[in-house]
Amino acid sequence: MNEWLQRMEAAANDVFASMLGVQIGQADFDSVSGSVDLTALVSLTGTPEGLLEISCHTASAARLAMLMLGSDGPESDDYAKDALGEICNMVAGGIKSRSSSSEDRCRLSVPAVISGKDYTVRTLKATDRHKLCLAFEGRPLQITLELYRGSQLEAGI
Amino acid sequence: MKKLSVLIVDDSSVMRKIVERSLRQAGLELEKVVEAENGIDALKLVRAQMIDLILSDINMPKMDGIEFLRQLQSIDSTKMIPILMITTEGGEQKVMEAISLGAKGYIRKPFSPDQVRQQVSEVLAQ
Repeated sequence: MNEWLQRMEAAANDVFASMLGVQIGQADFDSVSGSVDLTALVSLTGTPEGLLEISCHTASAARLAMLMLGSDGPESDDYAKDALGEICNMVAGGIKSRSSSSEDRCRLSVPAVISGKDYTVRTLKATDRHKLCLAFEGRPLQITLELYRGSQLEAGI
Repeated sequence: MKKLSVLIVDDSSVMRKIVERSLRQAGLELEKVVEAENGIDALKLVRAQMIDLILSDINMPKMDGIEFLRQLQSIDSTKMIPILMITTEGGEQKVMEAISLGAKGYIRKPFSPDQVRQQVSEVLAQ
C-alpha cells in the first residue's frame, strides 16, 4: 500500500472510530457488493492539491448519519448527505495532517455532495489517483484521492 | 452551576447536532442551544440574545469562523463571550490566528465527547 493509501485509511479509521464508534476495514472491490449513488467531494488547494471523493449508497449514508447522531431510526436524505459531506471533510483534514507538507500550505473547500446514478467525477488536470475501498456494514465505501501532478513534487512529497 | 446558553456555528447540520450531543454527554446543563450555519447568521443571533459560550467551525461559506471571531471582538457586547473553535483546519497558522483574535481554545475534528468536555471545562474555569 502506498503512502497516500495508508494516510487515507488511517484518516478514515480515525473518523469512524471517533465520530461513529465503529471500526472499518479495507475491502476487496470485488468482494463488497452494492452500488453507490452518493458522492461527497472536498477539494484541497495549495500543497498538496487535488480532490477527495467519498462514495457510498444513500442507505449507507443514512446509517452513517444515524450513528453520528445517535438516532434510533434512519435519518432523512438531507441528513444523510450532510453526514457524508462532513465525513469527507474530516477525512480530508486527516489526510492533510498526515502529509509531510505543512498544514498551513493546504486549504480545504466546503464539502459538496452529488447524488444520482451513472455519473463520473473527473478533474481537468492530470492527476495521480489513489483509490481505497472500505466495507461499511457489508456495503462499499469508496475513497478516492486525486492529486494534481506537480503539487506533490513542489511539496517534496 | 448555571445553565448555559450556547451558540453552535457550523455549516453542517449534522455537526451542529453532534456538538450539542457532545455538550450534553459531557454533563453540561444547557438552558438553550441556538444554531447558525455561517458567521453572518451567528452574529445576528449573538447580538439578539444572551449567549454564554460559542462553539464555531472555521471553514464556512458566507463568513468563515475567523472573520466571525474578528467581528465578535469588535463589538463591546460580544467580545467577552468565550469561543471555542471546532474545525478540521488544523494548521498552526489558523490556530495562532484564532487564538490571537481571542478564541479560548481549539478542538479538532474528529473529536470525542471527552475532548469537548475537557476544553469546555477549561474555558468555563477561566
